This record gives sequence, structure tokens and C-alpha cells, in this order.
Amino acid sequence: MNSVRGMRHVCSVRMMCAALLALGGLNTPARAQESGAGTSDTLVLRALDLEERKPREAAALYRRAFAGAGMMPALLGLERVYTALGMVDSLLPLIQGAVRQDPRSGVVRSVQLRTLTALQRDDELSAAFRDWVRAAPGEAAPFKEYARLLLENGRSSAADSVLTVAARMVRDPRDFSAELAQVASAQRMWHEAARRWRETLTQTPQLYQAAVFSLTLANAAGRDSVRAVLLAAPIWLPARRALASLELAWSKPREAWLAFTGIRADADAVVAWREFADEADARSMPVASREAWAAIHRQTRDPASALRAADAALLSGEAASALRLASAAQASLTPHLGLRDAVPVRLRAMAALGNAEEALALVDSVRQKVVPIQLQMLERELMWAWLRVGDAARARPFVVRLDEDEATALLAIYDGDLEKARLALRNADASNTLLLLPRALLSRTTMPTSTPLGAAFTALARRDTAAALTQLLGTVNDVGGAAPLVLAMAARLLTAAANDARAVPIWTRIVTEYSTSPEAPEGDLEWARAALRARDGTMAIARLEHLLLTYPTSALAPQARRELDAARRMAGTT
Amino acid sequence: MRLVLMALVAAPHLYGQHLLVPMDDNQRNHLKAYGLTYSALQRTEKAEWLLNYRGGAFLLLDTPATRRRAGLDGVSVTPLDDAAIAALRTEMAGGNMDAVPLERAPKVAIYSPPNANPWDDAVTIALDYAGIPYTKVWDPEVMAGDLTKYEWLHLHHEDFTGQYNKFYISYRGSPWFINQVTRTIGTAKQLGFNNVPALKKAVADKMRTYVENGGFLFAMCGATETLELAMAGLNVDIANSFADGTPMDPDADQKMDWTRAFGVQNAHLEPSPLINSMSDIDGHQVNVPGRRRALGTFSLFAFSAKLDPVPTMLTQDHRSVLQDYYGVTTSFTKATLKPGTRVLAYSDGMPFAKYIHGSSGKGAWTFLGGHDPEDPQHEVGAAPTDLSLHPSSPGYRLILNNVLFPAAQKKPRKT
Repeated sequence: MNSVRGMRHVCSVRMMCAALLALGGLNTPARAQESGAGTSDTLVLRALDLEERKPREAAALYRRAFAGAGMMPALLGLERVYTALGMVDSLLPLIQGAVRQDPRSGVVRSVQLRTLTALQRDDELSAAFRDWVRAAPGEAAPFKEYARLLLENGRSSAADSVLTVAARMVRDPRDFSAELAQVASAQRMWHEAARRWRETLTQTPQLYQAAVFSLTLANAAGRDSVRAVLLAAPIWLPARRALASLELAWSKPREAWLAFTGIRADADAVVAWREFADEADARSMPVASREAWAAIHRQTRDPASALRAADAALLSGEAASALRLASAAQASLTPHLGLRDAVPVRLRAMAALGNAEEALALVDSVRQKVVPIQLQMLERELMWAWLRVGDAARARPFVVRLDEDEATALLAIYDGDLEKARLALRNADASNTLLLLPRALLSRTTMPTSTPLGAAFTALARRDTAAALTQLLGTVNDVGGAAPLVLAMAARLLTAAANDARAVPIWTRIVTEYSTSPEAPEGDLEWARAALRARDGTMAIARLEHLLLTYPTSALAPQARRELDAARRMAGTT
Repeated sequence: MRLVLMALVAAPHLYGQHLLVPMDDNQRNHLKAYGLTYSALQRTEKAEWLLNYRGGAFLLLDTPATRRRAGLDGVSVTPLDDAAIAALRTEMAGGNMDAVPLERAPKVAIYSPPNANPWDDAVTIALDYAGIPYTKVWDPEVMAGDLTKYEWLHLHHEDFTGQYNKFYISYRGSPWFINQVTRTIGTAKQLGFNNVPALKKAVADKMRTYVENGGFLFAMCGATETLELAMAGLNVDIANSFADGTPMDPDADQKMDWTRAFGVQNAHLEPSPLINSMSDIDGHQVNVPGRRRALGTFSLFAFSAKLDPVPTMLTQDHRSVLQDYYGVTTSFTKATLKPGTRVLAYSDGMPFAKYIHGSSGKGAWTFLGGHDPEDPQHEVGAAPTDLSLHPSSPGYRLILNNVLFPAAQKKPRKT
């Protein structure tokens, strides 16, 4: 990786040098020595090749080129190699000579300021800056370069002063809007920074990334100021686009998409949405991505956008939306493309929704039109649809045929074959959410088989909570260390069904009989919530205090503290 | 720290002599730490405020009750034995640090109307969150002389000029505003005043007497500016006709008696009833579009802990530069401050003070500009701030510094 990066660096330096060589000594008296230019070019190119391996030899070549027609690229080369060799002070006499030759040269002056900064010669740095200002009256470059260096060294107040003076001295003060914005960001004056960046983007929209990078650092309070400025009227697409990127960087995908609210849906908006959607995809934020692709589809009727939206919807757990989008895409595609691109997405959505019969009908309708490898992919989705609804019998032939660890494990769980499930889970994808609970349970019991547990998981998949409860409670005494987890599974079902009368005794049992189990803090919290629902503030306080004092490191502690405050308010105590 | 806490809970017999409550970035809940300290004082346990040590840490006795509360509130504590305490005191002796004994839990009163307003009061929120008890008082209690029962009085957004913060300009049709006007007029009549400005000026005068007699007054937002105006304008008509039926005295500016004010002088009143500003005391003028100044940051001054403990106490914080926030009164124009007024924090790059303090008679007052430190653009009707989302708010710490400040054993200033 480093070598690739190094190669890129050399390439970019080489290109820059070539550009400088092309410009040649346009601004230097050495232009007169045209006969020597070719020699200087050769020297610089040879020095470039040696720069990383033999910096001393490269320095010697640059020195020779500097004396000839290639002063600019040679000076920049010397700046690099002398820095590497720890000989930065050797640059100063050369720079002085170059400044005498061309006192207005931005390249030479920038090297001078950088060198004096590196040598920490603050007085000389300040003098050099003033000298440059005198040599180039009315130009913005000296102020910009000096302010940039001050900012890089954390001297934002000094940079601010320089730019304030500059705004009075140069022809167009708007030249400094980007620098002023950077200063405000460095000073953490977020409202001002956002205002200045918004102003900058009107002049130089290409600085969009710099604006986002700079404002990303805003703290929670500063973010509100940034939002207020970028959302302010008049509605302006670049500002909204910047805010959308910022919200993504702040991990607020929903707010990110909302930043586009009010934007006129035209071609520019579509371009911005497309960039935003790609950015959201790159950041793994499907919620934002889905909204953007769906908006693009609404505007363009482009089926590819609908499919991207459907993919993102599936990733964000919105299977119904995914199904709708994929169906819309298929309607706009040719039969061949629809079969290839849209049908698999529709099938995945149906599987995620548990619409197994519908998935089967879809597969049957295309069975004759697809090649075997496509059919296998479709059947895989169908297999997961059956597994998701707990239909082991119809899933089994596919599981056997496709031999996937995750599917094998889940089917084994349904069968109550815990040993087989354990084996299959060794290589299974740990991120499969359907396997989270089975995995947790298997890690806490050594039972090789358990028909009631298999029946419980099957009933859960079939959304038959009554049967699941019966099976779970019937197996508690057999599962060893997994007993509190099994109890918690049962209690969660009852709590979700608003059956506190049956849930609370189970939570109580978890807290009292299994006080060191991972489920015990949850037991306290749910017990407290049930007490609050019953308007028993005293009991709620007691349970929450027990949780906080007994399990102070629990991940539930912060939530418990919030609820303790609420319980105290209800009970009228502090 | 989690390990320490777990060890404390798991092995309650391992008690040391003291618990250190750090207030630097190692503290998980700065705001509740004030409540923890206050509760120790309520139990008449001695405590110390270690000024400038680890962000203004507290040193409490290691008791089961303190440990229990720390655990419940999620406040980080570290047990210290005698050797560690000795090392701590040696370290403090060598730097700009000092230990101030805290002796008693001050009785806190909040001047607040009986019915809730549609916006919130940052101090009430802070005290509720920290678990510090307080009593609400209103005009009848103040006029009856009840302030003598309390050591600390807080004012927030009340308009002591009796002009309802000039909210009639924007909100005169709002039910909450109509209720507020009706209620306040009723209170004025009930207490024998012809109009609301007369009542509020009398209330302000009572508060002035309270401070003169040794009370501590802390005000935020619009209460700061209007209290000063009401005290200085006790004998001047400074209210517009919508409030008292007569226009403001055209010579009001010249007739103000600034010797009666706590910290400001020579301010100019805003004569127009249609401009939502009271005077030029406020620098930011948030409700006057043409004068409104942008929010930036404000910086806390550092003081000598050994020589100047009071301002040091008031500025204890784990941050020295804070995000600014608006209020009806956001800041105080430096040109209007009396020479004896201590500036505790200033608005960066602007000629405004954010946080000021002074003494008057036997008591002291502190003014903090702005409405809600965690809601910079706070507007009428905005949802109250949920401090459980800001447990380490450096802005709210300034409020709570003021609550504990009256608990400190009084030390004469050495400068």
C-alpha cells in the first residue's frame, strides 16, 4: 500500500515538475538561457528518479538545475530533499537569490514562508510576508499563503488578523472567504464558519469538500448552528448538499436526507442526489441511500435507480418498500433484464417479509426462463423464505442441496438437533440476525438435542407466541446455564403482548434466581417498567436502584438512570 | 473507573476515608456530581471544593450514602486514603489551586410563576437533573418577606420592568401570553399595586434588600438586565403604555439612579415600544434583527484560587472556551459595567461580558447571559433540554457552581 501511495506521490510530483518545466523559467531571467533548458530539464528528471533512493545525489542535481534554466522545479525539489536530509536551513541562501530574481513569484515566496516556518524563525517569517505584500501590492496570494501557514500551526487568531488586514488591502475581499471560513472553523466559531463557507461556495463551488471537511469537526452545539445556516432561506442546493454530507459524517442518515427538503427536483438536484446516494452507500447508511435512490427514480423513472433503492431498503430492513421498488423497476425493464436484475431483489424482499408462498409462486413463474445457476440463486432465496417462516419441511430439500452453514444451522435448531447446529455455526456468518438468539443459547447449554427448544424456535418463526411460550417455559429446567436466557425469551414475548401479570413473575425469577446472569439487569429494568405502567413508582425506583447498584457496568445503566429520574418524578421524590 | 465502581459496590467493606469526585474529563456525569456533593452537605457531612484541581473536584467523606448515590447517579468517584490525600494537598499547595470547605447545603429559592411557561428555565432543569431541592417563590412570597428563608435566589427570564419581555410584539395573540398578562395583572391588584410595572419594581427592590442583607442572587437571561433597570428606575416611568397605561418618561435615561443597580451603569433605555430590546446593556440584541450579533464562543477567565476564591469557584469548569447561546439578554456591554463588576467570562472577539459577578452590602450577585447553555438558538415554545443527553455540559456547570458557592465557608478576599 505504501509503495502504491509512494508511486502516486512520485507521479504527481513528476507531473507537477513537468508542468513547471513546461512553464519553464517563464518568470525568470534564466529564460534567456534557452540553450541550457534541455539540460536543466534532464537534470530535474534525473533528480526526481533519485529523490527517494539517493537524496544527496538528487540534491546535487537539483543544485545544478537551479543554477540553470530550471530554477522553479529545482527549488521545489530541493525543498523536498533538504527536508528529508534535515538540511532545511540550506535552502535560505537559494531562496534569497530566487527572491531577488523574481520578488513577485508566488512559488518562490511560498517556499520561503514554508522554510522559515519550518525553521521557526518567526520574525524573519513575518518580515518575508511583509516583503512579499510590498512586492505584490493588491494581490491576495501573500495573505492566503501566510494565513494558511498560521492555521496549519494552530495560530488561528493570528491568521484571522492577517485576513482581516488583507480584506482591506486587496482588490476583492471575497478572495479570502475560504480562508476566513477555515479560520472560523479553527476557532470553533461554527455559526460564523458555516456562514462563511456558504458564502465561499457561491464563489467557488469546487471547495465543497473542503467545506464539509472543515465543518465536520463541529461539536453537538455547533452542529445546530451549522444546520441553521445551511438550511436558511433562500434554499440553495450546494448548501443543502454540504449539509447532507455533514449529517452523514455525523452519523445522522435520516437528517442527511432531510437536508434536501424543499429543493426543486430538477436535473441539478438529481446529480446531487446521485452523489449523495453513492456517498451514503460508501458509508453503509442504507436509510439515506434508499431515500436518495427512490427520489432519483421518481424523477427519472430510471429502473436502475429503483433497484439501487430496493437494495438499500432491504439493507435498512424495509422489505415492503424494497418489494414495491423492485416491482416498479421490473415493469420498466426488458423481460430479460427484469428477470436478471429485478426478480432476485423481489424474491429477497418476499423472503424478508416471510411471504414464502408468494416467493414460491414467483420462482415457479420464472423457472423455465432462467439458466440453472440463476435458478439456484432464486431457490436460495426461496429456501430462506421457508426458513424465515419456520417451514422446515419445505426448506429441507433446498438446505440439503445448497449446503449452506447458516441454513443448516437454523434447520438443525428447528429440528432440535443442537449438536448439529453447533457444528454448522462454527463456519457460519456471524452477522446473520436470524442466528443471533440460537447462537447465544447454544453457547450456554451442552444439551445435544432438545425437541421442545426446536419447537419453540419453530413456533417463534411462525409467530405463534402462545406455542413458543409453552415450549420455552417447559424446557427451562433442562437447559442448564441457558435457563435465564430461555426465561427472558418467554418474558419478552409476554411483555411485548402487554401481559405484565405473567411477565413480571418471570422477570422476578430471573433477578432473584439468576442474579449473576446477563439477563438479570434486563429483568430489573423490565420489572421497573411494569411497575411504572402500574403507577407503582416506589417499586420502579427500587428495581432501578437495584439495577444501578448491582450492575453498575451494565449497558442498561444509562437507560436505567434516565428512567429512574422519570420514576422519581412520578413518585414525587428526588 | 468502571472497575473501581464495581469494586466499590461489590466490596462495601473496603471504605477509605474520602471519596474524590473528579471534575475533569474523567468524570462521567459532571452535573450530577454537584447533586452528590449537595446531598452530602444535606447530611451535614463536611466536603471540600478543590478549586482548579482536576476541573474543580470535590472531596467528600467516604460514607455508604455517598457511595450509593454516586452509583445511582453514575458519578465517577475515587476512594482516597490519608496518604493519597496528603499527596493531593502537596500537589495543590504548589500550584494555582486551593481547597475551600463546604459547610452546609444552601436553601435554594427559584423565583418562578406558579403556572409553567411555554419555555423552560435552565436552572430548574439543572437542579432537577442534579437532584438539588428548591422551593419556588413568586411575587406574593417575595412581598411577604419570605426571601429571608433562603440563602440562594435564582431569577431567570422574568421582566422586572413589567413589560413582559416585550413579547406582546410577537405573541400578543398567544394563549400563554394572554394567560401570563391576566395572571400578573391579577397578582398586582391582589398585592395592592396599580399596575404590573409598579409591582415588579417593588419586587426588584425587595430582592435588592435581600442581597444587601447577605443573600446570594443568581440571574440569567432577561432577568439580569431588567432587574438592573427596575432597581435603577425605581422612581422613573420606564415602562411603555401597553404595560402601565402611560408612555415611558421621555427623560427616563437621565433620571435613572444607577447607584441602586448591582453591576451596570449609564445604560440607555430603548424608548420604542415596537423594538424588542430593553436597553443597550445586552450586547447581542437577539430580538432586534438590525442589531443582532452572531453567536461565537465565550471564554472563562482564570483567577487565583488562593487569593480570589469566589470568582475561582464560579468559573470552575472542565472547558475554558464554551459555545455561546442566545437569551433575551445574551451578554453585557462592557461599556455599561460598573468599575467594581468582576467579569468572569467574555464573548470572544466582542466587547461584551458573558458572565459577571459582584457584591452588594453583605451579599453577592452573579449574572449569566443567555437562556439555555445547551440550546443556543432557544426559542419560545421550544422543547425543554434533556440534560441526560448533556451530563457533562460545561455551560450548565456554571449554573451549578453558583448553587454550591453559598455553601462555601466564607473567606475574606485577600486582594
